[in-house]
Amino acid sequence: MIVRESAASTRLQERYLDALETYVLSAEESALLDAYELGRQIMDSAGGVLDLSSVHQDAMEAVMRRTRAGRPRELAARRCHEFLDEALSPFEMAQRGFREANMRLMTVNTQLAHQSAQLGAVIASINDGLVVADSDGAVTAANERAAQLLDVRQNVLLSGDVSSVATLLTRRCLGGEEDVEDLRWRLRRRTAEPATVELRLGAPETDLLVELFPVRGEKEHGIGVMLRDVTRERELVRAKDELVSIVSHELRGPLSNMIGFADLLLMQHRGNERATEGATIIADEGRRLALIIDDFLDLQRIERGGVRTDRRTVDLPAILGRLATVVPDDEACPLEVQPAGHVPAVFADPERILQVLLNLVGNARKYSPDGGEVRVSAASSSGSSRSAGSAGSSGSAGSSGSSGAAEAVTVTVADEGLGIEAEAIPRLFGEFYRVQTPDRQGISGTGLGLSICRNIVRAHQGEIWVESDGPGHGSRFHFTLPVAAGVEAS
Amino acid sequence: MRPPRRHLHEVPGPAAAQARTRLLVADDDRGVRMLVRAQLAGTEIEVLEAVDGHHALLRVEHEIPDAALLDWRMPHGGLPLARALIQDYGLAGRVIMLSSIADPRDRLEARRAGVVRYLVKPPERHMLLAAVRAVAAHSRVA
Repeated sequence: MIVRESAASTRLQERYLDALETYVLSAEESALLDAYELGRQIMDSAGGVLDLSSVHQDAMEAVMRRTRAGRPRELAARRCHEFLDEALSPFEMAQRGFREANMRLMTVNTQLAHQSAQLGAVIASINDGLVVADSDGAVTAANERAAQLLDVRQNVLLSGDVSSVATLLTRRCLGGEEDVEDLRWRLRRRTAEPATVELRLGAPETDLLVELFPVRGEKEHGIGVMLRDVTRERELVRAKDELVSIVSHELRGPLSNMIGFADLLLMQHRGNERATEGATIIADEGRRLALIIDDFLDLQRIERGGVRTDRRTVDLPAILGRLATVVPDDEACPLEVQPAGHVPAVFADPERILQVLLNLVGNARKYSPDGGEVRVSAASSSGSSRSAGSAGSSGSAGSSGSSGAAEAVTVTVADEGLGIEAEAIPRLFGEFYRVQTPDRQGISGTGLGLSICRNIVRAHQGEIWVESDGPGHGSRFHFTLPVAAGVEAS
Repeated sequence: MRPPRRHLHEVPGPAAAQARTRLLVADDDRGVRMLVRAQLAGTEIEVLEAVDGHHALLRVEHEIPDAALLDWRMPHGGLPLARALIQDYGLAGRVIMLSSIADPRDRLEARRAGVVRYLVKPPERHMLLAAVRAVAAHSRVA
């Protein structure tokens, strides 16, 4: 670095190096002082471009190169270091440190700029809209897709507050005002828990999934909003639902007529066993098919809009009484409805509860191929009845709605049938799940009944669960119903 | 606990001695109309058929029945037809709905519209007879 174009500079440099070499080889004090002085002159002549430390350092390296073989190089090297230690003042050391730090900073800055550009490219390229805000709610990042979905210019979005997302959604939203208000509330408070809202927007019609997620920094927490256009997916689901609905209704109509006319034949030929045998099979099989179709339609309705219930204050004994009258006689599996006169009135849809009971009793009989009593009972219980009910060694699993602490009534359907393996219990209330064991091979079903029961019980803010002591030991299905307001449990 | 099953010959007879009851059966499914007609054959109930909602209104325009049994899903039918019969043709308390699906929401909507009975297809003969006789008795009282 010290090599300069001018002859004066070269001469100065030669003299400096000679002085330095003399000092290194002889340790003469005068040579050292000469070297210092000459080094300073070189630096001055460079117009402040070079600093003293680098002048000395470069010189030392040159001297070391000029040190010939046979000379004591170790001694030369030691003196070089001594010289440098003397020559470089603490200020110069600090200067060098700053320079190195600056170099590192520049490198890090370059890397950061590169990463930032990469992140920006990713945010700009993703197919979902993304808006990110800092802890004060000021939008710090928003991609073009978000601006497009919110029907606003990107720079307007970037200059505003994150709650403006809710305002922009309100302009295009077709219904769902409560959901947008909830969204606005969350955005204003920048709540930490993730939330998802699905909205239907107009002009053009779009199904939009809005996901809020916390952006956790080291010190400050921001909030992110992901906007996903799910129009295509929802169209497919709607088309599937429509197809299922049409097919089911189209099947259900002719089936009703088949069952109805088979029943009519049975009535007209009562007492003639040979004549009625075929009609009985047609009627029974028709009813089985109709039940499967009803299950499909029920589940489809639940998936579309949840279980709609017509809830009112009802006496459970009245529902159990109806159950006893509508369940057909079965000598092998007699139904025993235990008196429930002492339980308080419940807040429930009697038709839906009867549907759950019919399903559970139907299952109890279906999975008791060797017969056995099916017992239905009810008892008032506290909100924590579930844990008390499932205590012990038996396996249990279920599903709960909101776990209110209010008094509840627990209804139990117990059988002496095949029982349930512990491994099957956690999946029992899932859709289309059926226990696959050899003893169940001849028993038909869709695996939808318990899923429907779960949804109905949940719609009543209740819980449903099952206990079984294992294969061959029967099962106990329990579900809870809330006690009607203003009714004290006895 | 279960009461003995009721047989056809045990279905309660008409309240008024053999008074004819004209029942309008509106369903776009011929099979259902035939089934209802066959189930009610030999009783005091006379079946008037309509193939859709428009046809039902034309028939009612010509002759007001004592009771109406309406399909939930048929062209120009369902609840709007039930409301028209109840509000414009004085059939309040005399409309029965017949649906393929036992949907509690439908049942509730029907009740709110003034439908007094909601039967699921296929109707059992004794249920159908009981429902028609109950609403026909209502018409006589009214």
